[in-house]
Order: sequence, then structure tokens, then C-alpha cells
Amino acid sequence: MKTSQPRTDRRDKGPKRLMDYMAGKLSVSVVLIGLALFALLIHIFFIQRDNAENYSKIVLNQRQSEYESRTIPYRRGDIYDRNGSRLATSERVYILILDPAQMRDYEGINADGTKTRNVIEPTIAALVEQFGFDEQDLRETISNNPNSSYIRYMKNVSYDKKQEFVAYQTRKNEEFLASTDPVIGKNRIRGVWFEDNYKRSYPYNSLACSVIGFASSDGMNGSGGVEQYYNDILTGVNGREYGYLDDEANLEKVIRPAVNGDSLVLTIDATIQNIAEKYIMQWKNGEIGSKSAACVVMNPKNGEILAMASTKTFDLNNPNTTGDYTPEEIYAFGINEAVSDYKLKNPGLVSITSKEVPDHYSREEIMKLGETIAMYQNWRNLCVSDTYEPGSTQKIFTVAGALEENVISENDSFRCDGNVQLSDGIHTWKINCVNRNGHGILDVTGGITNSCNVVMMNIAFAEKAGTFVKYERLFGFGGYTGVDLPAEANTENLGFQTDEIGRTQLATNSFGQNFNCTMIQMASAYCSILNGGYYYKPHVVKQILSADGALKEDVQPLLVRETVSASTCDFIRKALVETVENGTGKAARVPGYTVGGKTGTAQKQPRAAKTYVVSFCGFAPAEDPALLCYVIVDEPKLPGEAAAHSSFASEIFSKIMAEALPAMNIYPEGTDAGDYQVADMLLPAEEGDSHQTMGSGGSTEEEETLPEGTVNVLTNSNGEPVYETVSVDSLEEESTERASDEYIEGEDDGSELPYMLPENAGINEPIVELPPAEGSSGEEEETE
Amino acid sequence: MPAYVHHQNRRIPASVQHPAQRGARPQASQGQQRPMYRNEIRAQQQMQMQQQMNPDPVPVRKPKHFYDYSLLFGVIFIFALGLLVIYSSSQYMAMLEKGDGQYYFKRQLIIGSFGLLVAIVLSLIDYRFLKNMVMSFAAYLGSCGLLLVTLISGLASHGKTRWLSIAGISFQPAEVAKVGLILLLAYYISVHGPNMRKSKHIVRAIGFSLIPTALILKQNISSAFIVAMIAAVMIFVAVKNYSVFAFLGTFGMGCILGAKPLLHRVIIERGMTSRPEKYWMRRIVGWAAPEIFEADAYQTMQGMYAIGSGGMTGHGLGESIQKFGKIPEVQNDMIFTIVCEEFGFIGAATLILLFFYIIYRIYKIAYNAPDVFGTMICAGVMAHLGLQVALNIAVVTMVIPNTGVTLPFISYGGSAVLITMAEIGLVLSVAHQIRTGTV
Repeated sequence: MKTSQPRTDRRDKGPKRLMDYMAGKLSVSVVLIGLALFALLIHIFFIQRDNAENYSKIVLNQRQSEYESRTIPYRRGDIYDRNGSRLATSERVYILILDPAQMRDYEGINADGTKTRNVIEPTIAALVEQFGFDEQDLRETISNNPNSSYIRYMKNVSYDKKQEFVAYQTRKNEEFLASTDPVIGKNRIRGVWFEDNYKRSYPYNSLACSVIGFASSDGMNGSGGVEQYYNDILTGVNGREYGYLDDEANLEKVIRPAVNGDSLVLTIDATIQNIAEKYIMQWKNGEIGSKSAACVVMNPKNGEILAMASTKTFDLNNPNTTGDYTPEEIYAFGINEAVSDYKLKNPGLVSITSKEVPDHYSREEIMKLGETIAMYQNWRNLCVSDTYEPGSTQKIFTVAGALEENVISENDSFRCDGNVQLSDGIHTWKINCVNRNGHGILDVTGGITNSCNVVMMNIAFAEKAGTFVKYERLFGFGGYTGVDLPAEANTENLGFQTDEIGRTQLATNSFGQNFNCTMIQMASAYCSILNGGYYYKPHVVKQILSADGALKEDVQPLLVRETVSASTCDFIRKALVETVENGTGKAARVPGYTVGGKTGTAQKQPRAAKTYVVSFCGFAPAEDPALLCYVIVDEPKLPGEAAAHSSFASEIFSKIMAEALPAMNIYPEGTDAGDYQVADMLLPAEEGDSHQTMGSGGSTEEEETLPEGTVNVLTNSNGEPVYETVSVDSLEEESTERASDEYIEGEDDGSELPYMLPENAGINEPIVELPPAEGSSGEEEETE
Repeated sequence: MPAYVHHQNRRIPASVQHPAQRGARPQASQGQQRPMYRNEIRAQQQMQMQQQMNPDPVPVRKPKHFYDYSLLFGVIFIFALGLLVIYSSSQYMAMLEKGDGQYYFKRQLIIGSFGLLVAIVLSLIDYRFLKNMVMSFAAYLGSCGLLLVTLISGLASHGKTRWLSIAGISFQPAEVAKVGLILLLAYYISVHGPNMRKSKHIVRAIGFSLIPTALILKQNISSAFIVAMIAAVMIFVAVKNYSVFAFLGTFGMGCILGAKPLLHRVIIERGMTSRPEKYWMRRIVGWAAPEIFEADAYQTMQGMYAIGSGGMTGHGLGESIQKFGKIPEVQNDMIFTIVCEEFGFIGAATLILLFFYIIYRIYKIAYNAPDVFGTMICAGVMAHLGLQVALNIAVVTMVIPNTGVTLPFISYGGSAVLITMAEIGLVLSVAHQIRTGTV
């Protein structure tokens, strides 16, 4: 049969029929296709047989590495004041991440193999439009990091801004997608991510800055204040999002949520804090001013700190400032720092002296070092980190100890002749009272109200060093208070190292000189007197709340020890009320309230510099103290002894209390809560007048120069004047003279008063055994 | 023996022929008392009713047509499988890029369903309306015209585009050109029949093929290659000669199989490390030496990892790892790698078998087509499908360099799906014209 013959047997009609050879070729074609497919199948089989394990590993590795775990940041706990005002909070913000690698990945490819700019250009345009970024910088960032997938381009993008951009991106991409234009249709905005983050913010800016402290921007670390002290509580645990491959090589995505930090409720009352800061700053910016001033307000009943203010303030939202330090001071800081910096960096070399510093450091470097130190200095919490000689405020503890041990009785009387002379065998010191002519006969209350050094010295001599030191220790001096704030000063080596202190030291310690304490120590010790002898640990944290606001821990007042008996406390409290009513503390009077308190004027070291720390520690109401306020003014800017006026502090105290008491719902006698208006009644009027006159009048510090008739010259029971003056009525236009509480004066020959006794003399050799010097002996010092 | 036997139309009076009697089925002798099937009874009743309503009916003489449900349902099945794999492979990236995990799935479902509708409609129309010079040349020249327009618009915009947009619908004219060329060659071969062995006709047929090939070549090498190969297969079927084709085929295969080791050696010996400038050259070096030109071999190597990691049984549906952004355009050219990864060797073998079944059905239709025109249409479509499948798998298994060849019915892609479905419609139409008897 001829194959070319039409297969007529199969076809009924049609001119063309399937030739046999065509049928054959069709069959050949289909067989060839089948063989090709079969060959490919065999090829696949071999690929899988030979590479299954290897390729599976590669695939899993790629998947694992691609699925990098992501950190979910925790939220740092908030800080509230006692009334629920938010002092510190963490806002959710976003970090804008650029992903140039992704942008490049999704670029199209031109026919010549180069990448199109279908992604980079629209993305840059979108970023510039939405965030106002510098286009040039964006371009450079992207082109310089072509393979990076993680460039933190902008921090602290707000939620709204992020949402806006995401919406814009979605809208634009949809527009591109819908576009029929071949170029625009391929455009996409890509490679921009937002990473969760939090930003710490302080709604009240500088309020209570040294108590709160500030947290690092990542919320991991706190610096200063409760942010530092309670860092472990405020911080949480970062969460993680990660993927892993399970037994069946399925990728399991796991999200371990972040554990947010707990919140703190402080004992701080923002209102009182604000009042305290207002008057501290008013003083600082006033006519006189001082090197520094600070104030602690506490609740005497439980040791809660209601306010803690000082002249060192800074904005917590922007803490890197050098505060009030002048360039000269910063330069001086820098010089000191450069010395240790040089030592640190050149361990092998001979260290340089401060004079050689300019040879090794440029002025800019020194200033930079100094600025760092100035910043640290500015962040210090004066109230817990700085120590000073407290002065006469300490006198009540001398009395309390002696009363408690029955060394003296409440009715004992002492004679004040104006000074006590002491000698260690080499030098002789005449320790003056505030009244160099002597107060005459004073009882114990009179000793406190008149702030008589001689009485105190005699009491201290009576109770002996051991008892004196024991009570100082009981009242918390020479140790730590344990306040829940960082960097509490160590006062262990600043006095009371041993029970056996020397006689001279005992004498000076009895009226608050020659030992150092912190403000929080003094305030806490006062609290224990005011609440009947219970020494509570001072604290600033009231409650710890969990992240969702549930109460986690209620901080109870911690009774550390009992100090003195209730009757002693009662006696002291009454004496303190008497001090303000009739004694040295008249400037502290608060209209409408009965307040009590004690003034203090301490001479700073070196004694010859005639610089002073004046202070006032008082409370109100007199019968049932609800507020304790301790104010110190360090180095009032007046020359010499003109600065030694405790009334500077007393007046600040008075102003603070006048506003703080109503804020505590304690209203002046004879007023109703309703018609009582703090600002109207209690804001002190022009005090500049009195300050000005005082400034000029203060230059002569002799008691004889007291302008007659212009001062309320108070007399004690002996009819002798007490040179503690008064500007209670600040509206009074007459100039007022302020007398210091006490003087510590060297002999006329110029020998210095001992600011720190020689160690062997003070500790090992009781002064009583030394040969008596001229006109002074152990016996003589005690007066009846 | 061919499976389908054609019978003469026989004039049998309607009154005599039992409606239940079908085609060549031997009639049961009247004497035998065979119980009637239910459908026979129903048909008898209908007949009686019809006779009552129309007592004098015109005798019905209607040819009985064959319909290849096997092919239709084979295609539907493979398309549905494709949808499944598209959804599995593209869901992740679609969610990321389009914000809708079903983006590719939905679009493929819509266009594929439309394509199926087109195929069914085409299958019911007698394909022979195309069997004239006007229609076949119109299809051919029209598609060439589209190619020209694409080329010119591409040149005008200083770029190269494979896409043409008419009334907002984008499509690849190269796909249309395949159909146009198949129709023209089928007509030409059907006209000349055995005379195709004459070199004049062979040259003309080659000429017809080279025009669209040349037009496509500039934009899309792989499509041009497929167009040329379709023509080659059709000419091969039409021409009696074997030896020339055998020589050319062997030579071509040898070139493809021998090129890789040769190129690899050249690259290693010359220490070539810098990427070539030309895009197609990059693909070739990436194929020949993937370990050196990692960037150029990235897509195919990732595909190879997917194939290799699948093993014998695969990870299971939806369990592919490589689909998570590792393989670019995974729902498109590289979809077979996901089939291998998720269903393993068994899945790949099943899919290849399914494809071969479809090709076999088309072959059977070609074999039994009523005329040479029908046979050649089927041959062209068969060549097209077979080539696409083979080339696609060859690309993903790195047998040949990476070219943009889609896997028919499976890969995502609007115009390609539509054109392939239309081709199936033409084949079904040819099958429908196969007469198996009269009613």
C-alpha cells in the first residue's frame, strides 16, 4: 500500500485527508514530547534524590535567617504623684526604618539589565512630602547603604504621623496599581518600616526634677531620683517575636509579649512641690539670693516626703544643661576633670597638675569636660546628696538626749555668760554665744528659744560624749537614712565616728557645728520628735502599681527605731512652738497658724571665709504636726556675717507653709475652707524692701548697731535683748536687722576655731585630761 | 485501530428505527424479548407523544457529533489544580504586596473561567469557518500587525515591552501570534496536502513562520523560539521527509545539552567573574555557572532548592517554604518548583502525566479529525502545549537557560491562559466535528 494514498476508507468527503505519513509523524511527535517529559521527570527525580537533604538545609537556613526575631519593647512604668498626677510617662512612638535593600529588590529591570527606579524615586518623594526630609540626604543614605535593610532614619515618629504615612503609602500604591501608564503603573512606595518604641516624657518639665530623675531615651536606665532608684521596677522585660522551624519544618511564629514596667505612686504632692519650688526660686531670683537653697517637706507622722525642692533645677525632658554654672565655674570643673582624665588616659606618665592642664588640653576640651561635670552637679539632689554643718537646728537633739537620760530636768537653769572657753593645751578657743554678753540665766526651753550655745554646751558636757553620741546616732546622724533615692551622702565619717569624741568637738557638736548631715537626716530626725519618738524611714514612694493600674505593693511607713519618749518629744515640741512665738524663729510665723520650729545658722569652713548656711526646720499645726518643712539657704549673697541670718530660711518656710497648709486642707484659724484663697492672703508682698535695707545694715554686725526702734527687740526673762529678729510682718517698712543665732569665733590673736579637731586629740585624748588653759576648765564651763 | 469509526449516514425510516438504537450498535432481533431499559421506555413514550402532537413528522436526519469530554475535563482539572497551587504559592506575597492574599488567585479564577467559557463556545462552532484564505490570513496578518504595533510602540518609548494594551486590557501579542500562525499553517498545509514535500511550499511555510518569529525575537526570545518550534513541528508533520528533521532535531538537542558543560568550562578557564552587560548573556552565564554568577542564577537556584527540598512526597499543600519571598514571581514561571516542593516527585510526576494525557487527547483528535485542517490545528496546539510544558520544566530544572516560559493552565498570567484555553476550544471544535453516527 502506498502511504501517500489518501485514506479514502476513512473519509466520506473533503478533498484533504490525513495521509498515513502524517499519522505516523503525529505519533512520532507525541512520542517525542512524551519522551522529553519523561526525561525531565527523570531529571527531577535525580535532583531530588541527590540534593534533597542539602537543598532542604539551604531552604531551612534561608528561612530561619530571614525570619529574624524582632524585639517588642516594653513600656517603662509611669510615675504619679500622690494625687495621681502623671509626673513621668512613656508615649508610644515609632522609629522610621529605611530598607534600601528591599527598595532595590523590587526595582524592575531595564532591558539593558540596569535597575529601574520604580521604587526608590516614589519612595523618596513620599518621604520628603510626608516628613519633610532633606531629599539629598535621603538619596545619599539610600545609595550609600544599598544592601542594608535596617537604617534608623528618624526617631520619635508619633503615632499620628506614622498612620498618616501608612495611609498615604497605601493610597499612592493603589493609584500606581490602577494606573494604565506603563511607567507609573510599576511605581511603588516600599522599604519604609516603623518600629515600635517608647519615648519618656515628663509633663511637668522641671517639677520635682531631682526626685524623679530622668530615663534614657530607650527607657532602659534611669539617672537620678526614683527613675534610678526604682529602675528595676519601672523597667519591664522586652518581648520578642521570632520564628522557629518545628519537627515537620513548619515555621512557627511565636510572639512573646513584652512585660511592661510597673508604675510608681510617689508620696510627693505636686501642689506642695510646686509651692516649695516657687518660693525657693523666688528666693534664688530675689534681691539677695544665695549659692543654693533647698527645702524638704515631710509628713512627720510617717516619714513620707511631700516635696523636695532646690535651686538646682533642670528640665527633665531636656536634662543636658549646665544649670546656673558660669563659664568660669565650668572651666574650673574642666581643669579638675582634665587632671584625672589625663591620669586615666596616660597611666604610665606622671600626672599633671591643674596648672599644666592648658598645656595638654585646649580650652574647648576643658570646657567640654567641665560641662559634663556641671551637668552632673546640676542633677545632684541637694537634699540627700549634699552634707553641711547643720547649726542650731541640731540643738533640740542635744536637749532631747539629756532629758531622756535624766541628765537634766525640764526645769533646770543655766547661766550664759556669752562664751565658753576651751583649750586642747595648745590652742584656746573662746566659743561665743549669739549674745556675747550672755543670756544670763536660761532654763532649758529658754536655751532652745534663744538658741543659746552656752546652754547647749553645758547640757552636752552634762550628758557626756557617750550619751550625746548615742542620741545623735538614734536620731540618724552619722549614718544613712535609707531614703529611697540614689546617692545618699555617707555621713559616717563626717562626725560621730566614735562614742569618745573630744570635749571641744562635743561642745561644738552640741549646737550643730563640726559634724555634717544631710537635709533628709535632719528632717527625718525632726519628724521623730514631732510624732512622739518614732523614727520612720523617709521615703518618696507610696505605692507600686502594675502596668494595668492594679495595686501591687503598698509601701507602709517603716519604723526604723524609737528615739526618745513621748514626754520628751512633747517638751521639745512645745519649746519649738515657743521659739517661733517668742524666740529666735519669729520670722517663721505663719498668719492664722501656730507653728513651731528652730532656726539654724552654721558657719561654713573655712571659718575665716565667714560664709554661712542658714536654715529653719519647722512644723504646723503646733498641736498635731501635719507638715514639717525644712529650709536651708547656703551662702546668702551678703558679705561676711551679714549673711548669717536664719530669717532668710524662716521667711521661705513661712511662705511655703502658708500655702502648703491650705493645700493639705488645714486652714488658718477663723477662716472657712470656702472663702479661703491662698494666693490672695498668703503671697508675701514686697520683701525686697526689707532685704535691701538689711543688705546695707548687715554690713555691721555688732549688736550695738541695731537701729533703735526699728526692730522688735525681744528680751528674755532676764530682760536681755535677744538679737534674733523678725520680719514676720513683711509689710512693715522699717528696716529690720537680722541677728545670727550663734557665733563661733576665734581668739583675737587670729587663731582659728577648730573646724575639725586633730584626730588624736578628738578621739583618743579626752579634753578634760588636758592641762586647763587660761580661764577655762571642765568645771567652769558648766554653769548653774 | 483508531478509536473512532465513522459511519455512513444511512437512510433508515424514522418509523422503523427504534429511538434507543444507537449508531453502529447491532440491533437486537425483534424476536428476542429483551426487557426495555427505563430510558428506552421514556424515549418510546416521548416518541409516541410527539407522534400524537405531530402525526406526520418529517423524518429526522441529524448527524451525531462526538464531544471530547475527557479533554475538557482534563483541562478543567489541571486548571483547578493550577488555581490551588497559585493560591498556595502567591498568598503570602500577594498579602504583602497587594494587601489581598487572594489577589492572583481571584484574577486567575476569573480569567480562567472566562477562558473556559470561550473554549466551550468555540468548541460548539464548526472550526471550518476558519478554513478559508480570508480567515486564516486575517488571523495571521492581524496577529503580525499587533506584533508590529507592539514593537513600534516599544521602540517609540525607548523600552521593550511585551505587552499591548487595547481598551484597557493588556495582553501579549506573542500569544495571539501563536494562534495566528497555527491557523495559517494549518490552512496552507490542508490546501497543499501531500505537495507540502515540495521545497517551494516548505520555504513558504518557513517564511510564514519567520515573520512573527522575527517580530517577537526582539522582545521575547523564548516566545519566538516557541513560535518557531510550533511551525517546525507542523511542517514536520506535514512533510513526509524524516531524515532532515532527525538531523536538525538531534543537532538542536546536542547543542542544548552540550552547551552547558562547554560554557561552564570556558567560564572557569577564562576566570570570568564580571557580569556580562547583556541581559540574555547574564541569564546564560547564570545557567552555565550558577556558583560564579550567583546574582544571575538566584531565581533558578532558589527554584532548584524548592524542587530538591520537596523529596519524594513533598511538604504537603501549602507547606512550601520557598514561596515566602524567596522565589521572585513564584506564581508565574516558577510555579512548578512549588508543585515539586509541596507535592514532591509524586506530585510532579502526576502533573506531567496529566499534561501528557491532555497532549495525548489532542493527538487522538488530530488523528481522527475530519480533515487535514483540523489535524494540523490539533498538531499545532499539541506542539504548543508540549513545548511550553517541556521548556518550563527544563528551565526550572536548569536544563536550559532561564527564559520566561509559563506552564500552561498552571502559571498565573492573563493572556496566556486565555489563548491556551481558546486553543483548547479549537481542538474541542475539531473533536466535535468528528461524527460518530446519526441520531
